Amino acid sequence: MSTDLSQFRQTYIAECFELLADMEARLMELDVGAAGSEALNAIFRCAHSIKGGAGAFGLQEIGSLTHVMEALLDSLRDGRVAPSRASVDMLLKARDIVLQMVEAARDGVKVPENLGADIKAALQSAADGTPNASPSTLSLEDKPTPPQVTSEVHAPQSWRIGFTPYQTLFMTGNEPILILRELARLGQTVVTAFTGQVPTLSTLDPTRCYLSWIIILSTDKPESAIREVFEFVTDHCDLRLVNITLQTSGPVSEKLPEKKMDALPALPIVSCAPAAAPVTTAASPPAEDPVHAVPHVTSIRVDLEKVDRLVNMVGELVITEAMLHALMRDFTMDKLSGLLGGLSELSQHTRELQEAVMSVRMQPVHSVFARMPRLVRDLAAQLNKDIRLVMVGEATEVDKTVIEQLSDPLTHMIRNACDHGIETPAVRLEKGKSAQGTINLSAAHRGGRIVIEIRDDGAGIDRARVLAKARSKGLVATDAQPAEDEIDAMIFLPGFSTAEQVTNVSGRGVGMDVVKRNIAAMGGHVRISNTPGQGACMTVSLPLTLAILDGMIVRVGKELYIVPIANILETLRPTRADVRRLEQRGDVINVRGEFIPLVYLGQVFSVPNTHQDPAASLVILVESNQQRAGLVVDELVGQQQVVIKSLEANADPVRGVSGATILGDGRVSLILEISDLTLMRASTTAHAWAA
Amino acid sequence: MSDTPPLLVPASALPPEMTIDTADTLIADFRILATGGHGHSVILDASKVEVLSTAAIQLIVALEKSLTEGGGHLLIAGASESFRHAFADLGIGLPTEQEV
Repeated sequence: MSTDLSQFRQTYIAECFELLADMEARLMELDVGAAGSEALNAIFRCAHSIKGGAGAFGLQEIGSLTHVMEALLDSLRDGRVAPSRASVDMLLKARDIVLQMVEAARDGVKVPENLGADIKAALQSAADGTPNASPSTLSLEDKPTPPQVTSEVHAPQSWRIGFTPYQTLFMTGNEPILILRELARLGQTVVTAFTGQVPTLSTLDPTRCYLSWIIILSTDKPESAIREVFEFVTDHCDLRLVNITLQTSGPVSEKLPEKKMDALPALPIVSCAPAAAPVTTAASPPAEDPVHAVPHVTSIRVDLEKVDRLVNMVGELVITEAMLHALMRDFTMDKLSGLLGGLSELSQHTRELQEAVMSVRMQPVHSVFARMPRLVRDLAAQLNKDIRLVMVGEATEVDKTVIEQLSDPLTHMIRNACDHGIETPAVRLEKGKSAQGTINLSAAHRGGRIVIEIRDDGAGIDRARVLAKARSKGLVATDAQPAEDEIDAMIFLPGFSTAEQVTNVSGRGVGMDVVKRNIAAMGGHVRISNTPGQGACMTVSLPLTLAILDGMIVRVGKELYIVPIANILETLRPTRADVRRLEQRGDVINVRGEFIPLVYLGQVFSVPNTHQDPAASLVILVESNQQRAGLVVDELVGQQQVVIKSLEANADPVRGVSGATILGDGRVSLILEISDLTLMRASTTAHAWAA
Repeated sequence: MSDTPPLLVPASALPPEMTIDTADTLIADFRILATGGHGHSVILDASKVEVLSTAAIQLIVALEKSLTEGGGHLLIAGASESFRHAFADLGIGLPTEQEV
């Protein structure tokens, strides 16, 4: 029987990217002064898993390089070679080359014949550093852990093991964790636990087992060896063992990845002191940097519980649909209430299904954040700076599409913070700061959006220099006196760069404007707050999903607009006494003693026949970027989830509008971008007063 | 959508041994920890954990579920290697880690 291995190859390549990211993070965490065997084992396992699969898919160059990486790691954990900054650098470099090889394999490109030859020789030499260390002592067979599966092993069998303990298992003195560890000794395992049956604390009986597992095991051991592991629990569990090995014409069958460690390895603090060794300054431009490039992601890992929820939802939908069909077959008016009830249920199930589908796409931002410690480390070395990166909120979830598009802007902002923000240790000491600069990278959910902050304690933006540059480039009139925040925002102007020299880190003049444009294209915005001499903070706010939003439909004249619910604080029907006109600031509304600027949507979008008197209209109090405004509209039509359609695909960006949608009656309605509206109000008012 | 968990909740230290034998004490402690009203979050200091059984991990899963249902969060601080390995070996994702 022949089998198409290409799907497994794709899975292997996707896992290689994960393993390489994991390896990088662990190498970054490695304390060379006190590297524990566990840390080295974890890195070893990454290399080993990649090597195993490489053999299975004929990627000899990957297998060969990872084998030498293993050799050095083995020497390190055996104490034959002392861990050092140089050995970590070497392993990171090798990891980068493996990444290039994996990318080439993914793209079907042949790698240059001598790619990685130098690093391979260096690794081998480092591994042989201890006297009497011969290739034979580095052989895989001598390693006690992890279990060895080499490409020489023919046709390992793959098994799917369903292990569902009875609730009484703990009372029999059996311990699942020991069983799973025993199983892992037979080969490579991928363990998936099901925690859905675990109740909350109020009803949980701690002596009962509510967990169950599916384990994929790749082993050359016979079935009897697997059953032997479960020998003592066969009467206390539901055990299903299925051989899922796919026979191929070649000697090696399906290769399974090694067990994935915790999904979110901790990377709280990474110190990035300059490397002692000289570092080449001829790095490639960031956009082409293979080390920090984002792998093309075509698949995502989804928690089985989420899939189960989807299946349940579909089941509910089918039942409701069948019920409605039955009702309609012989419908009479006395069944109207049943029909309405059914429709209401259908609506609820549709909504739940939608939520379940959307949740499948939600992924933690960790995958993007995890690349940053290495970036900062490399930049610190390149720039001779001492930079500490502190990351918070890596588990914050956001739509996969947002994550994929987030990497480039984030990389660029971090680069800028390292290059332009953090000063050299000598300068920092002169200023009375600590020699080590800090960049804080954080993510959090706020108001239905994800907010990412990049805060540094560097020099901040030199406003005098920025203004001078803007004037020299003709971006600002020579006699204009922009406000401080307007000067700060000038770094987002196209082609703006204050770098005296174009560097390969940043300052190529194509940076922050692209960042702003990319973020805006995702329906987000970026703000900067700057304290000269003390640092700057970039705040990026993005929608959690790019597909659907909860909106309030409002009428202005004959036009309907969508106001994102996430931005709405409250709605008001003001009296005339509540509205004041302030000189230079336009109309404001008094809301419990706070004066909030009013935005007349009819005026902003030039809609005819709209109310100009707020007392005859409704005011929707909205907030964006910590700025509040009152939108003056004629009527609230209703709340609805809307599917976002991009305007930019067919038209230029429209200020104040983030997209459009099609309503139930077929009408097109514009979705308002609240952050733009507050700014538009300011400029409209200013123009009105100027006129 | 929930905001970031509060960072000022004091961490509760987990004992070095967390097994079925100590499960009764643990669940009693966890129930007290989980009592804090809507949005209540808990930080567990897992730096001293040396032995962690399936039953104990199940209790942590239940604590997380209880807190999440109430709009809160469970955070783990300073997870020891044994703690991490136990979760990994059981194929269960580690709860969100709190920076220490």
